[in-house]
Amino acid sequence: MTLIVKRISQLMAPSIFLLGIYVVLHGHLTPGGGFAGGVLIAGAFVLLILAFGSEESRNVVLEWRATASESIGLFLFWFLAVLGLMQGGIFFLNTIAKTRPGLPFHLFSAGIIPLCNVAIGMEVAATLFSVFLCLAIFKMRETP
Amino acid sequence: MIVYALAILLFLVGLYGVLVKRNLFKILIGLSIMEYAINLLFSLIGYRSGGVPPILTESMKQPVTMVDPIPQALVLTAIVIGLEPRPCWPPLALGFTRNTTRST
Amino acid sequence: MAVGGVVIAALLLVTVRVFRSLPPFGFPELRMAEYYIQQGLPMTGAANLVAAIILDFRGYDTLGEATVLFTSVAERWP
Repeated sequence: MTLIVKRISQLMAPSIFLLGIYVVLHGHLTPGGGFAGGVLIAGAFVLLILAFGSEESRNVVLEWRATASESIGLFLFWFLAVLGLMQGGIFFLNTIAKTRPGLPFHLFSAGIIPLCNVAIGMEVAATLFSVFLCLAIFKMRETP
Repeated sequence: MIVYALAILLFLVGLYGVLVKRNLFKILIGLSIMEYAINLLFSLIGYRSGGVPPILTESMKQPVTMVDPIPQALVLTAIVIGLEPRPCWPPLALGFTRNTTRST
Repeated sequence: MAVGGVVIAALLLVTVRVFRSLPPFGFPELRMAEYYIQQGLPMTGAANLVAAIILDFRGYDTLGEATVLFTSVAERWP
């Protein structure tokens, strides 16, 4: 790609990443949540790889970070579900809303829901990015 | 009723693509169109006339009529599950066309 | 191709005939949604009712969906 595309995508990618984090964190107040925010976060990274080409980014991208964050996201989600079982006796109980309820319409409210949104956003972003890496850069095929 | 008929028409466009077309990628696109039409139809069922989105804001004093939030929640899960094997289809289709003697 | 067109026209007529038995567009019967809209904010404290539904009232579906999403990508690396 030309120099203009590379420079503009370098300037835009942090803004898109920040917008994705905002949509994930405010998932219990505004429309959005984990899935839409995760797609936005993956879009920021995919934009950078598309602008710079697959030859240059093959040396720079670290694929173990994508798989690690995907596993950590799913593990965090299951941990939050089991936390309800340990403290309340019911699987997936909203324990934080029972013991420490915040004021409604504030950022610190609704118990377990923002943490679940963060875990799902991390997992969806890592999944989509890893699929894109696998098909576009490493050029793996389904059938050997 | 006209809205349901338009969503069913979109589903039938996808079905036409699956039945009639001979190119493998066009068949896959028809399959995707059918799935989008079903998600659209399912989320249209919960519409209430004169309703607002089901997000509570601070400036809501009197009880307002809200749109049904349950079909939206179910369609959210359905969209993500439908998106999931979709990046695997083009490599599978390319492998299929490469290993067989069909031309398309 | 003509056979496909005839099949699709027949399916359109049959489906529109079946869909007339639904409630009219804009006036659904809400038996479960009334409970979720009334009790959403007092029970969970979230202002977004759709997020409260998919993460608190019906958390099992989201749990299964996240696991399926992970499983479909976990077979990629050698």
